[in-house]
Amino acid sequence: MAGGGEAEDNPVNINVVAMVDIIFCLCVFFMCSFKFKQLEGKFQSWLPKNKGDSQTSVSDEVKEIRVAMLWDANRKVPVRMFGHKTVAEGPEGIKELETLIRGAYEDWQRKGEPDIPLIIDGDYPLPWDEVMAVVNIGKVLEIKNIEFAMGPGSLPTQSSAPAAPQK
Amino acid sequence: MTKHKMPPVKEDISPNLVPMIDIMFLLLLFFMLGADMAVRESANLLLPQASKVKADDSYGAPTTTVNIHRDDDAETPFLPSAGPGREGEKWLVSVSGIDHTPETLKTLLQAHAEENLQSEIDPAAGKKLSDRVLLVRADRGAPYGFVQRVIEAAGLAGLYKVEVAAAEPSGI
Repeated sequence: MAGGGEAEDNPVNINVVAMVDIIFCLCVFFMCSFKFKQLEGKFQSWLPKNKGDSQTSVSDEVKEIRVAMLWDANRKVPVRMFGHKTVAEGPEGIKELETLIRGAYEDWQRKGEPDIPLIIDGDYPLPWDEVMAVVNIGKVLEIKNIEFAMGPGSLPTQSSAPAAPQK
Repeated sequence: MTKHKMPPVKEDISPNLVPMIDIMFLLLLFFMLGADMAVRESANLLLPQASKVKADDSYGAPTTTVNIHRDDDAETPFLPSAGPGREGEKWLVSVSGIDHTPETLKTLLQAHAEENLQSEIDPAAGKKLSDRVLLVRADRGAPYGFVQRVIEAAGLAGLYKVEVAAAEPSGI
């Protein structure tokens, strides 16, 4: 019966010690190489070739969708604005902003302007993920031109965000 | 006459492969650990999440990766302040593990851009642009002004192929 014989009946001796040694090596090998890697991707954001110098002219005709994002230094929260409308804070604000941008983009498409840019005008101390949330909205709505507004590059002396509402 | 035959000596000449494999694995392990200590292009930071992010498929394309990450113990941050309401935060801008100031970053990006200059002058830009890609990996809490400074420096250097990194929401 298989497996029922004596040990000396089996002519093949397996060196278990060496096998365990190699298994431990393999264990250490995989432990060292294993990492919880964050899945990374990217957004392409080619810079305009004919913009960005100091001789930029300002056109009277405003053909753009602009989202202003300010930073309330007192409450340490971002303040999102679409035109003159202040959008709600938190995740609800992102949904509201998406609805507003979608509406504006569809209006421009109906007017025959499918290449209308979405311009993100952010305050200096604004956390980067707030900006990326708007970039993501632009990508969801398949807006081709997403641009970052550039300021003079100087540090702000105070926040340009509106004062916190008095409670 | 009786000849006495010597009994044949059985000599086991087969090599023992087990210790050799063992040592090979150990060597592999040493090299792996050694390589891990090498300078990394990507700093350890938390990227912002985005649902529509495109997977990175630009293997082989010449790329300069700029990392913007926080280190409150840093002696010389990239810019002196992170802005109002964010006092005490120190943010660094590094390329290949080396921290930069705005001036050194500008010089570095200029040098990188010149390595992959296009052969002809771009009519829109009025100068030769670079085919090199600039990947900005900014931490999700990084001040937007820092990212603006990096993009501005890239534009001045002729690097117009700018990409911003983000993480897929399902990432661990």
